[in-house]
Amino acid sequence: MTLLDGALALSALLLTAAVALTGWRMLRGPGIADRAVAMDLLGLLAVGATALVALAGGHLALLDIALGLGLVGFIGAVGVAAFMARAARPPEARDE
Amino acid sequence: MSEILAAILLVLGASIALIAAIGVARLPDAFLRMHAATKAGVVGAGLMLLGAGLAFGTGEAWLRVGLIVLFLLVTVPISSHALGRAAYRGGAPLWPGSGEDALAGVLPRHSIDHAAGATPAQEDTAMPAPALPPVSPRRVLVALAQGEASEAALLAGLDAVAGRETEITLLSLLCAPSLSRTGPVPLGGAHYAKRLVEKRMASAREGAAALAGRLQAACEAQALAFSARHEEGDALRLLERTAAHHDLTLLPRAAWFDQAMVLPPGMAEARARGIAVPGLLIIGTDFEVPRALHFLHEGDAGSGEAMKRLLASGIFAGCPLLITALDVPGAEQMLADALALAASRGWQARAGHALLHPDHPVPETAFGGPTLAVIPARSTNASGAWRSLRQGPRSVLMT
Repeated sequence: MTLLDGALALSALLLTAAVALTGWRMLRGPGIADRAVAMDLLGLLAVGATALVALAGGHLALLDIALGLGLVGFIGAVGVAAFMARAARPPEARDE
Repeated sequence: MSEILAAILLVLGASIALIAAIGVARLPDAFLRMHAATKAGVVGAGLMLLGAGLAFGTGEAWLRVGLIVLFLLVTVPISSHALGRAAYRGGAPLWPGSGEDALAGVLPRHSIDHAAGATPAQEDTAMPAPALPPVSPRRVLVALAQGEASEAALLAGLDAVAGRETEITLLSLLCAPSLSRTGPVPLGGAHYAKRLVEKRMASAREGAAALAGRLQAACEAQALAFSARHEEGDALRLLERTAAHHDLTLLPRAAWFDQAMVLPPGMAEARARGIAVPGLLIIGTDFEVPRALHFLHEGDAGSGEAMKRLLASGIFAGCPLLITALDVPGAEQMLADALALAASRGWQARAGHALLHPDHPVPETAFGGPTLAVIPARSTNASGAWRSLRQGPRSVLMT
């Protein structure tokens, strides 16, 4: 086991704990904003996890997936924000 | 060598990601959680990517890693800005320890987030709320309005709320838009109209200065710490903006509801939507020191917000707090939640009257005498009780 393998294992462990905590916040809420923030962070964690997987398997192509995940996370966060902004308007102004 | 560096970067990145996750799990409100998630999240993911790039060591890998990191640095601030703005406008609750809300009166705030009237339960936040501020409000804004009834009400209110440590701001407002309205001007009358406006402004300024002088004398007589300000412009905006930095705002009822103060054309609408500040005490001439507060819970999200503002502001903290709810679905649960929340902040809270019928005005005996009525500034239910308290002659605290 080389140094890099050890670092990979340790990082994976730390990342698992991070995902567990963030997932708990996403399930717990209590508001839609808290869930959205947790989702945003989950996207970032997924990018990091993909980098780890790419390194562990030696597949360079997995880094492309990290780019894709980043993109999806961004669009998802903006989409949720747009939904929240729309729902935040008073009911009479909503259906215009 | 590069392997060691890569290992360090990977572990460091993962540790920072874990710190971000701990922040998201433990910080008390959505905005603080966002603060942890975005900054630490980007650094964590970025460092891990750099570590991977270093371990691969090829140009192809560096190209991708560089692209992803650049992409994250560009997009995460954008998405978290959008999320934060939407969360604020959606009425996501602020942790009371955040201090004042710098966006109060700048961005509108509505509620989508919580079930009707539910206030976020205290046990959800991992950190305890800070201790309550002292009993008498610390920063009091007095909105000066001319007129005999207004002046008497202001003096009574000042007497009642001012304590040794209260900082008082005397704010005299001149509503420039409504004073400088002239209507259609006949041919050649522009000069005359201008003179007229100047004269009107001058006499209004004189009146305001005289009133401010009398109030200052009253403050000096009681050895109260005060500062005086004079503002001209859109009176409501000015009031809302200034009031956000104070615990309590005194406003004479006669000025606010009868003469519409010195208020601009959009005032009726503004009154209908209410001002969401920590406390707006609309004082009538009969004002006396409250021995109890009586909160009208409308059973909507606005009431939950109002309740939280009241508890967080510490206005009249220590008074017994009665809570009366409307007879709407889920009222009993809401009442129980509100009572539990108030009790958890150290208030002596108990249920007030039986559930009120939403369409009926408030019973004569309720909310009267030394009991100060507290109503939510904004109401989606706009029940009969709420309307009768807003329009009736009594003093009322809007939060």
